[in-house]
Amino acid sequence: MRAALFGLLLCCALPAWPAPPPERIIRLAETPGEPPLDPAAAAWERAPAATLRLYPQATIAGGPGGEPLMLEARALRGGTRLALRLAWADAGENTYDVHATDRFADAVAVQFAPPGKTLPYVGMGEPGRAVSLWLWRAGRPPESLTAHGFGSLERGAAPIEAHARRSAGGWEVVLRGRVAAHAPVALAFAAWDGAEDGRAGRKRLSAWQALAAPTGALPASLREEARAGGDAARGERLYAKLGCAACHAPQAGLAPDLASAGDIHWPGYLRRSIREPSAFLVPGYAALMPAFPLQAEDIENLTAYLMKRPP
Amino acid sequence: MSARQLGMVIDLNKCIGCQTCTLACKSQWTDRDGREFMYWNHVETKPGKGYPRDWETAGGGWDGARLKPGRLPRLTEDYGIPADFNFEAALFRDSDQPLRPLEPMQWGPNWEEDQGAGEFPNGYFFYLPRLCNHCTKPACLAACPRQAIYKREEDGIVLIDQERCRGYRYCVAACPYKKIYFNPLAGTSEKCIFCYPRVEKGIPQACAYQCVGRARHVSYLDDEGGALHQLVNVWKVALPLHPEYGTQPNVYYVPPLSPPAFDADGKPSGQPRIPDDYLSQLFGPGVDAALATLQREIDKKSRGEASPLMDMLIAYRHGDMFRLSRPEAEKP
Repeated sequence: MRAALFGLLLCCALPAWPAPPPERIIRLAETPGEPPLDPAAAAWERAPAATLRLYPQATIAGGPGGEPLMLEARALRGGTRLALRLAWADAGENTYDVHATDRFADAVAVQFAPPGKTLPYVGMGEPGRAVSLWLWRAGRPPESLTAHGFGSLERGAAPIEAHARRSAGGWEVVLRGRVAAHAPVALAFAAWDGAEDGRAGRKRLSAWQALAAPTGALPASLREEARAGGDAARGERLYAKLGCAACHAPQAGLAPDLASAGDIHWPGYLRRSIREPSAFLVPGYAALMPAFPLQAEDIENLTAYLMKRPP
Repeated sequence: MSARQLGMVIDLNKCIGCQTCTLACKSQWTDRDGREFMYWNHVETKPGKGYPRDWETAGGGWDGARLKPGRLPRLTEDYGIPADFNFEAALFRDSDQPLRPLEPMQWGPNWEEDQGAGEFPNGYFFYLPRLCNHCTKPACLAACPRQAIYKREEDGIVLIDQERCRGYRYCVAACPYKKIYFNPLAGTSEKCIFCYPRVEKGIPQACAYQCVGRARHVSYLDDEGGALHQLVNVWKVALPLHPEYGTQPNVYYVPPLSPPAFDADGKPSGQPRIPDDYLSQLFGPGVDAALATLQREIDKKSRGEASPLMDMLIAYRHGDMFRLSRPEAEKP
C-alpha cells in the first residue's frame, strides 16, 4: 500500500504523464513455437510478470465489496497464438459441481479491446465498441465470448483452450487462443470467487492494460488514451465549482461514484465522458449530465484530478 | 404486464394428492438431462416445509418496488436427490433386503406427505399443487441481469430464453415460490413453461388436462365466460397463493373447507379443522369470504337449488374447464 501511495505521489510530481503507470502495461514475450498451455511450463519464465489490482465491481448492485485482488499476468505469443498465464490467491477451491444448485465456481476472464484508438468502457465494452472475452470457470469448458455492454454477453466464434492447476493458495490458469497478427493492444481482467457466490457482476476487475512490446513501450494507438497532462489541483477546484459531487457520489446514486475512477479508467475515457457525457452511459444511470461548456484545458485538469484522486 | 393473461384455478377441495399432474408434467418435460430433481409441477402437503424445503422462508419477491433478497435451495438438502433403488437386490435375487434407496435421502418433493399439523382428533392437512405462477409482476424477470426472462404479450406466459441464460441464478433467489430450478448439467435455469407448445395448439397444460379430480380450470383472465374470470373476479372464491409476495401470481386456489374440529368433550366445535388463520397466511385476506361463499353455495346445491358456482366447480363436462381459444391473428 505504501509503495502504491509513493507511486501515486511520484505521478503527481510529474508535470505530464507520458505513459500509464507501470501496472497498466503487460510486456508481451514472443516464443518461437506454440505458447504452452501448462502453467508450470518453463517458457513462462521468459514472460515478465505484471501484477494487477482487480477492484470489486461497484458500478451496479451485487458487487462483492471487500478488498482488491492482486492478479499476476504473463503474456506469451507464438505466431497467431496468444497465451496468458494468470495467477491469483484464492484460499478455497470452488470447482463447478454438477450435483449442486447453490454453488458457484471460481473463474477468471480476460477481455480484449477492439482495434482502434479509443478503449471501450472497461466493464463489458459498449455499443459500437464490442469486446471479446475468454472465460475460464473451474470445472467447466473455457468459453470464447463477445459483449457490448452489461448483460450482452454472447458466444464468440474462436475456440480457446485452458489449463488450470491449484497452487499452494490459489489458481494458476493458462488461457490460449488465436489473435490477429497485430491485435490486441489492450486487455482487462476479472476474477470471480465461488466462495462469495461470484458470478455476473459479483467480481473484481482491472483497468485496461496495454499489451506492450518486450521493451515496455506503450502501443502508439494508446498514446492519446494514456495522455494526462492537466493540473490536478486546478481540476479539483473546478470539480468543486461545477458541483460534480452532487451527483457523482455513492449516496446520491445519480451517477457513478468517481472516488476510484482513476484506478479503473484511463484518462482518455474520462476526457470522453466529460466532453460527451451521454455518448456512452454507464448502465443503470440516466443521461442526466450536461455537456459543460469547458475549455480543453479545463477538461485536462478535471481528468488529471480524477486520475489522481485518492480513494 | 401482458396484453392477455392465461391463468389457472386449482380447487383444493377436489385435489386428492394423487400426483397425476406431477407425473404428467415430469414425463412430458423433466425426466432427463439434469432435470431429474425438478418438479415444475408438484403437490405438497400443507402445513409443511414443502418443496424445496422451507421455500416459504427462502426470501424473494417484492418489497414495494424493490426486490427482496432470497437464497438458493440446495440440491440434496432442499430439493432431494432423485434416488436409485436396490431393485436388483430386493426384487430379483433371493434375499431379505427391503427395497430401499441406495443413498440415504434427506428430502424429496413429497417428503412429508399427509403429515400435516394438529393433534388427534384434530389433525389436519390438505394438498397444495404448485407450479410457476406466471406472475403479472415476475420478480425472476426483474432480477435477471441479462434480460433472459420474458413474459409473452399474447398469454402472459413467463419463459427463460435458454440461449441467453448463463446460470447466474438471480431468478432462482428472486422467485418467492422457488419455482425456478437451476439445471447443473446444462448450466442454465429452467422452469414451468405453462405447456406453451400445447397452449398454442389450444390444448390445456398437461397437469390440468390429466387431473383426475377435475380440480384445474384454465382460461384467460379477460375471458368473461371463462372459469378464471368467474371464480377470481365474480365469485371471488379463487385466491392467489401468498399475495403478500407482491408478484401478482396467476395461478389461483379455491381454499379448502374442512370438517369441524372436536372440542374437549369430543363434540363438533363449529370451528373448522383447518384454522382460518392458517389459510389466511397462505391465501390472504379473501379467505373468510371465499369459504363463506363456498359453504353458502354448497348448502344451496344440497337443498336442490341452482348454483352456477357449484356447477362450475363440479365441472360436469371436462371440456368446459378449459377455454384456450385465441383470436385468429394470434394463432401460431
